[in-house]
Amino acid sequence: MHFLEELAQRFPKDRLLTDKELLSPYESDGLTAFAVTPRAVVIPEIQEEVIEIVRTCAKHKVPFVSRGSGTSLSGAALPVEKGIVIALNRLNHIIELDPRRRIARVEPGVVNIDVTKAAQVHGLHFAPDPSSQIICTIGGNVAFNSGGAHCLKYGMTSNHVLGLKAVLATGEVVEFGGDSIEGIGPDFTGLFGGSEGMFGVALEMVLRLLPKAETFHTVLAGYDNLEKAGNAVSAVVASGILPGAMEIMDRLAIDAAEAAVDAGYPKEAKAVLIVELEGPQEQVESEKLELDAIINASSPIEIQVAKDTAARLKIWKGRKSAFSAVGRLSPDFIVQDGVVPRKRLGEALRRIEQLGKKHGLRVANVFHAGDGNLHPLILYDGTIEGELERGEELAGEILEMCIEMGGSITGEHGVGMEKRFYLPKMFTEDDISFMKQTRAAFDPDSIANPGKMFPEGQAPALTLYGLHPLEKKGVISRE
Amino acid sequence: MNCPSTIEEAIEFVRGAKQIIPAGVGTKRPKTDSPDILGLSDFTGIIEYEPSEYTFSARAGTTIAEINEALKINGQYLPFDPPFVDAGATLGGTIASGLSGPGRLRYGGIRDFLIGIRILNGEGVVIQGGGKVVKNAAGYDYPKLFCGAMGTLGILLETTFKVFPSPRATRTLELSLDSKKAAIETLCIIARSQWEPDALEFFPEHNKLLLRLAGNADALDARLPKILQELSYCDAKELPEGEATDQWHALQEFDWAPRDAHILKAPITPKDIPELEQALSGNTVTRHYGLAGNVAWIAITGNQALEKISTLLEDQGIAAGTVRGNMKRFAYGKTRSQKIHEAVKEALDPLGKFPVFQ
Repeated sequence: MHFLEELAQRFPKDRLLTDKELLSPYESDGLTAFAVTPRAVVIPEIQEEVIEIVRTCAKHKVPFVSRGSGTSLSGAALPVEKGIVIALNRLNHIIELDPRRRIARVEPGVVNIDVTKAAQVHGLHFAPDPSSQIICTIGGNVAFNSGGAHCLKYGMTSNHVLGLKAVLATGEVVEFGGDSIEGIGPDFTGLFGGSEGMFGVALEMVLRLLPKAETFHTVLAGYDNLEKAGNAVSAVVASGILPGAMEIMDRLAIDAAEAAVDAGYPKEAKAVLIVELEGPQEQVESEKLELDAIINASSPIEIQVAKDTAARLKIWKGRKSAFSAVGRLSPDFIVQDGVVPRKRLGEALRRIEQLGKKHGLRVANVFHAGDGNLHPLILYDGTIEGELERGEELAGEILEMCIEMGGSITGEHGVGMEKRFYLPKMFTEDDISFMKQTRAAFDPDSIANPGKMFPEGQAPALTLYGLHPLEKKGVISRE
Repeated sequence: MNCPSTIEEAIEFVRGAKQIIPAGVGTKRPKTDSPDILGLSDFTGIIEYEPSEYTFSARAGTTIAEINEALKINGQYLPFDPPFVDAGATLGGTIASGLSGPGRLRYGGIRDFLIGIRILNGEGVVIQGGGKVVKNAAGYDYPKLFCGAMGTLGILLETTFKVFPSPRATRTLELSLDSKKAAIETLCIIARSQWEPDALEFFPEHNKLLLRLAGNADALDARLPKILQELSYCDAKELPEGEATDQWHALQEFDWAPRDAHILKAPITPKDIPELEQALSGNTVTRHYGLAGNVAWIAITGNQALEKISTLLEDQGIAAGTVRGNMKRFAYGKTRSQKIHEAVKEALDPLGKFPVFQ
């Protein structure tokens, strides 16, 4: 029996999509530069169906790409022409949430924020908070080890996944880790996190929940140049305070945020720094005095302190909307994600500015300053001949700079489709063949999300970068 | 014994060896005179330490003591309290055995702070996994895979860790309760509190909890009376600094376990404790529950008793791994036999030079 016939026996027409127009929403993800029409989209509703789909794919050696909400910025969920997409949104059950053990057992299609929503009645929350958290799913967060604004103190997604159940590309159903924060043996849960969907499909994940911080202290400082903001970050780090988040935005990003959400950021500032302390009341009170002294000494031109939750959320709204807001300044833009050692942030920003000038393109900067994670936004107009190519070139040069400085080509978006040609610049041939051997153990036929992470293969034709349809509506934003 | 002090020497040994048992200084597994042992005790030294980056890189044979000292000068620390520091534990040995101490509760364990590794595989090829910056999502996460791998997947050469600024002060409360049940109940309440407990350990023999809070001295002193008030239903007292330090130190060094005992580590959750306690009663074992009831450390004397406890754990559906002692296997209690474990082992060690995790 043919592959699709076999699936058709199991899935009704409304859950096995093959018509061109029904497939089109699945052609692309948050990296809109690429689009591929898959052979079919299957929409399982229960775990057994996912297992069956993967086993059918394994039997016929048909590639599959699993997908949540399709918010990846590295092209993680880009379909394969001869393959299928497994849309996991209906596997969206929080199977268990136990406040005593402080864990949540969830299916891959559960939306990130829904974990915290379910946990907060118990005073708990799920720490990883990518900016797309109101729509992105846990399956995608785990597959790409997503980050967010609060990684400095609490780490990335993988640091909060205790165990998981998955169907591997071979069809084997496995369990790694468990409900405890301890583990024994090689940490397979850790290896699965960030494996970019190339090992199989996670069916259930055990997430660690943390008590919600008792109080927050959020400060926004405006500076007349970027370097002063960077120096303030260094001063905070040197003081021994460990803030929950430290974020910097440059003038262009501030303009974008202001145009979009009127966050009330300083009008004259060339850069703003957001520092957030969180923890027990008395500790935050104590650190607050120190932080205030550091910020006052860093020559800011304006300081705003969030007096209540509403003011705090307003500051964050400006920050979290910055990426999509850049769409108001430019018809098209590329979101880059690189890491440099924190002490070289100032140098990195100067070089990005020079590179932008060289290519005649504007670059807005939003970054997680606490962990050196840059997000340059390269603005261009796709209707002007050559601008997209220049933008691509500039994006590549920024990544090369990150590697040269001893950083990374991705802090939180993953390699995916977008950066696979840069992997060999960070890792040797030996390193990459080690990765391929590992992948082959999970997926000997290379059917799970093929064409991602590793540099070979043809890139599908580039299309115009632009906003994700949901970004245009203001539903999601980029980190 | 083969103790290379350079990568070249290590490569030469690996290329010529049929079987390889990577070892540190033997704080957990006694060293034998087997020709297969590749000792990393001479492969030492901090390669780079950037306090401003919250990272350091060091060779795998470097002792935790040396690292702690270097970090301390800069007001930083490894928040997961790596154990057996006084005994001389090395970075590599601690990673391979996947060991974290009481501090794991707050910010995570060794798997959460190890951000980069350079390893030597069975073919004598050096492989890099992870990176040198605190945030990195490029390539597969080998640093995590190698935590707890017991040297079965390759030889750790160099390691890069994330570190944090040390809390300026700590306070320790000792809580005595009437029963195990009451102690576990209180443990769950504290673990869910907004006090940010830095460490929380349970001593079942005395229905006692040890709670450590960390932060600024003025903040802790302002908070403590409120916490004691909330815990007024149990016998709670603050320990003097010296006594507190001794207690935490004893836990970190496993002083509570008989020196000749086998020590097992069993990942659990607080709800497993009552049944486990019942099952263990009547057996001559010493045990301690760490990480707010997320781990049972069990010390057993004698091989026969070890097998008996292993069966007992298996009946409880609990898996356990070795911590210290001369044991035949790495895994006790409930084991998970999955094809993928073998497939990964075969993929990363095709020549089968390293021990098998079993």
